[in-house]
Amino acid sequence: MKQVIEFNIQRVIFVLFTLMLLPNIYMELRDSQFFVQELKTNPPEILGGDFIPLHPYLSQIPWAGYVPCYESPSPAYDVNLMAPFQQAQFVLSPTLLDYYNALKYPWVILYCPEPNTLEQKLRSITAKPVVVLNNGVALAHRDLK
Amino acid sequence: MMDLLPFLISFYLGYLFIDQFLRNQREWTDLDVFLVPGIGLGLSSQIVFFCLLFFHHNSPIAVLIIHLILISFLFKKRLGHASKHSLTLVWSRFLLFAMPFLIYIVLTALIRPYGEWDAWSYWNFRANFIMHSGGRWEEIFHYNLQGFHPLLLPLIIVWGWSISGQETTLIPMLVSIVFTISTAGLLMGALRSYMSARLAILAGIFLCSIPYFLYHGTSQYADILTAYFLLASGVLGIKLFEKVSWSNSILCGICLGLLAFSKDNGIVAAVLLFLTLGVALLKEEKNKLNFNYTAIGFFIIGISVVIVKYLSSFNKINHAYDIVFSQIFQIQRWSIIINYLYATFFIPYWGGFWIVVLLAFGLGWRKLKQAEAGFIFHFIWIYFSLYLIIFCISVLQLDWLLSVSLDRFLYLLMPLLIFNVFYAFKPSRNS
Repeated sequence: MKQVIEFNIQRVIFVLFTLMLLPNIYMELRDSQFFVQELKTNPPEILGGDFIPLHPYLSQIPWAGYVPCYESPSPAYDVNLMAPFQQAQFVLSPTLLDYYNALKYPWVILYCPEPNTLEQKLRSITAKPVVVLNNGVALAHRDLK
Repeated sequence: MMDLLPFLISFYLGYLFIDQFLRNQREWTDLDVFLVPGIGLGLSSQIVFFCLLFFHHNSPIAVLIIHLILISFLFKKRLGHASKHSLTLVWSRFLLFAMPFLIYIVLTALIRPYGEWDAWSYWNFRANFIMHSGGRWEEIFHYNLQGFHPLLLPLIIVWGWSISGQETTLIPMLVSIVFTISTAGLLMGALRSYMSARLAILAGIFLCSIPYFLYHGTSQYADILTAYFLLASGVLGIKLFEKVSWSNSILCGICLGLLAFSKDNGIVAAVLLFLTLGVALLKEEKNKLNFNYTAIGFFIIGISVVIVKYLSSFNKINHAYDIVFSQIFQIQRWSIIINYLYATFFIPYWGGFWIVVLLAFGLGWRKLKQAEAGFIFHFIWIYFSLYLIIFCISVLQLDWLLSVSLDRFLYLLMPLLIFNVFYAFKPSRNS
């Protein structure tokens, strides 16, 4: 009797595994269609493209501060703040960026995509712009003396 | 084509290495065939790591020379009892079954050439930094750069980029594809020793049919590497109960070491699996030797994990790892965790995985903890409980932590759980 029960449980488990294949494969087919469509209509963008023009200026700079104009009460969990910061970090490597102690470094990267905010920010941190891009990204220098 | 070269070198190194280990011990099995990519790429990462330590910067020529020396040394001593024919036969038979899923895998990889968020912001960034930072590479452990995970994935990518000569997104993409496919192959190869080909294929296909397994596998995270080496360590661990075999034991130890070198969760998993395996093995005197050899293998690769942890210990403490133990008594936190778990189990992209697995655990938990695979069962429940407690006592925002980590933590267990269920419910020899 025990053996019969065990045998049936075994069959139930393997049949369930087999049955699950159908909806799963259907989901994958549906997703595949979506992916193909997406690849045709929206080819992937270059990640961190906004910051790439700064790369040549930073080749000899090991660390730089990162100052965004957007402020957040909980920066570590804020996607709007962390996304551009980490994209900058990714494309500007091996220069490392510091958000938390940004004003500790003579070189600072600013990210102010909102119009007219960049100049205000430069003034507030007393930095001189070295490179200013049209998209609100800038490389600035601060005199730390 | 050049992008494939580092993979071919690593696979050949992996093949010769395993061949050497199986010398006079046993014949090649399907399991060994699917260990080749993992062991090969794992060894390559170790070579890159020790060259980094020795030369203080990434030195592709030295890394390549060491690869070539190792390959020529192992080539001279090779037994070749796994003929190239059987290797390609097993792989091509598997790829034939996996072909429909391979299309899905490639599409999910192509649609995200940089992978998901942590792939570019953490893993690929680290590889990029090691490539270009010269003598500053140890700054990768700076507290600002979130966490001090070991370097298996970044170093495989560094190896790929160094040899292919170009830093394309293709290398990390290929690493994720190789490990995703190999994990399914490993599951199938491991089960093939205990049951009919039909059931083993069912397990492999079921794993490949889970959309989340393939989607997350190609996200270019280290999770797929952790899942692969966790499965490899588990299935090789079971083999240690069969007979005294230093080759299986050291291979198991090496897989445990690479599991620990994959990420922090992997360190916890490797230590816990080693302990549960050790407790089960040491119940019988005859297994003592196997345990000792496993410990040696684990120790050899574990050295790199200790070095990484030592190097990162010079930095400020990362507060992400802080805990508040009193939170363990907060019912509200537990109810949030349970709600998340409940929601996760029934999300369609898990493809009914949890429904079947939980049912199997409910109906056959006695079987699951019996005999040789018992240590896997004990590992799974201890590891699972441990992480739920960590979620509960972490200082990080619980909702955020669960939303970004719970899926990934459960993902690591997925191949091993399927193996455990299939192994426990395997048809007896008489039936």
